[in-house]
Amino acid sequence: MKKIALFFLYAVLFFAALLFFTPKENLYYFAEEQLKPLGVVIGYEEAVDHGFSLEILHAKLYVQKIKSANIGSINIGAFGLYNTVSVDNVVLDKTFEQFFPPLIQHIEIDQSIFAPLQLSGEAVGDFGEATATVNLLERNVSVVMRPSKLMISRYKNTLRQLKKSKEGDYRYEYRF
Amino acid sequence: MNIDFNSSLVRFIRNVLIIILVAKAISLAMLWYFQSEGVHYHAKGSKMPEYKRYSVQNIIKPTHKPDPKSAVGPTSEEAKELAAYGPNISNMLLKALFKRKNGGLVIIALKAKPNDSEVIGIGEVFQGYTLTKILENGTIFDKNGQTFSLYFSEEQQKDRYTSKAGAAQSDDEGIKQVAKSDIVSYAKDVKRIWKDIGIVEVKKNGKITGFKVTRIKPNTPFAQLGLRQGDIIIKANNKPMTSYKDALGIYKGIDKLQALELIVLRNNQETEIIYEIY
Repeated sequence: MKKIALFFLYAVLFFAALLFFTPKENLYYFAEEQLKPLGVVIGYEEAVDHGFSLEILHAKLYVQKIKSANIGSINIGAFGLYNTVSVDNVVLDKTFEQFFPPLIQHIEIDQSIFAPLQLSGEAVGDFGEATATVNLLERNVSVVMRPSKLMISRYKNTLRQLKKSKEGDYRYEYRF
Repeated sequence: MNIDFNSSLVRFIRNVLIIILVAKAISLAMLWYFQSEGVHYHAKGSKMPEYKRYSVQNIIKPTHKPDPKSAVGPTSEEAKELAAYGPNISNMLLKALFKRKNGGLVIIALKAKPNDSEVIGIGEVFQGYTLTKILENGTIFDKNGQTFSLYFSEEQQKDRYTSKAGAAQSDDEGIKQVAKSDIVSYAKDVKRIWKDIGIVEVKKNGKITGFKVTRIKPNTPFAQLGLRQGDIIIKANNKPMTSYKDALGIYKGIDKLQALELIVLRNNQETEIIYEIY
């Protein structure tokens, strides 16, 4: 029994040490490289390794060479069993102001070992609140949005692209 | 001092140190394997120097030595193009124009020989192209029944000195005049655009080849612009519309334009629509 406990202790220590020493900045650059063919570039950012997590500060997001947003901070915590990405203060570019409220205060994306092929996310901003799930196995994205008064009054055209449910929220589904 | 290497505490510390060393070795291997520099966006033509991260790998990387064979300046490139394809509208340079109510003059040259300019009027020929119309910021030529347009370059546009002589011309020869106030009001209120016109991208082999007009609301400024349902906009001011960036580029700068030339595919034939913005 003592030996099994010791083995688990060593295993935990090994993963903790590996997590601490992993060059998270370089892994992040590798991930950036994978996003490049999709036309997504995160530029001008400052990456700070906090030991067990990585923080990306003051990033500018470009999609298909269009400047799309300024991102205050992205916090990436990859703990193996539970991984999380939280994004704060996303300000969309002026070009998109006509389509969507520019400020998104917080986005949280989680993935756990218990559902490895499913990502779930939540977002809060001037648009209201939204929850999303991405199923990598079925290759679909499902978004449920509860729009704010501002979104309902000023961005009716955008809301028209979503399906209104009986509960009063708006749904969007996409297969990739 | 005697250390008992078989005591359980020492063994534990030794094992922990080995674990840390193995973890560090793996992380060093990862450090070597993964790139030390991220992806950075550098806009074409931007005056900002391209971002380069300070790292050992960047220092030991051999510096790029330009190949003397490929070191050709813009002038020699243009001379090569001229030799290969002969004079055509894309290797001509519009240097200046003087527009009058019933005509005017333009100063034009070949890009390869910018100092060898010619002054021509309406109906006169330059390198096989007949000048048919002078616009506010460009010209229209005709060759073998086909219409070609030539505008000032963006750099010239910035430095251009404009002096108005006489009243503005009325619309003729299919060139449409559009009020700047209409454009500004549309640019500020995108909702109005989507109410009055429907546009979707057209893709071929996964790449955008243009933007198709799916509907136009009658009795709106769009309805009077000459666009028709089913038209596919493939070029705007000589720039191919192959991405949302191209379309947004025109949208963002539309209030600064003096003329807009659209090439649309209508019934599988290219049609040119020119707007003068006053």
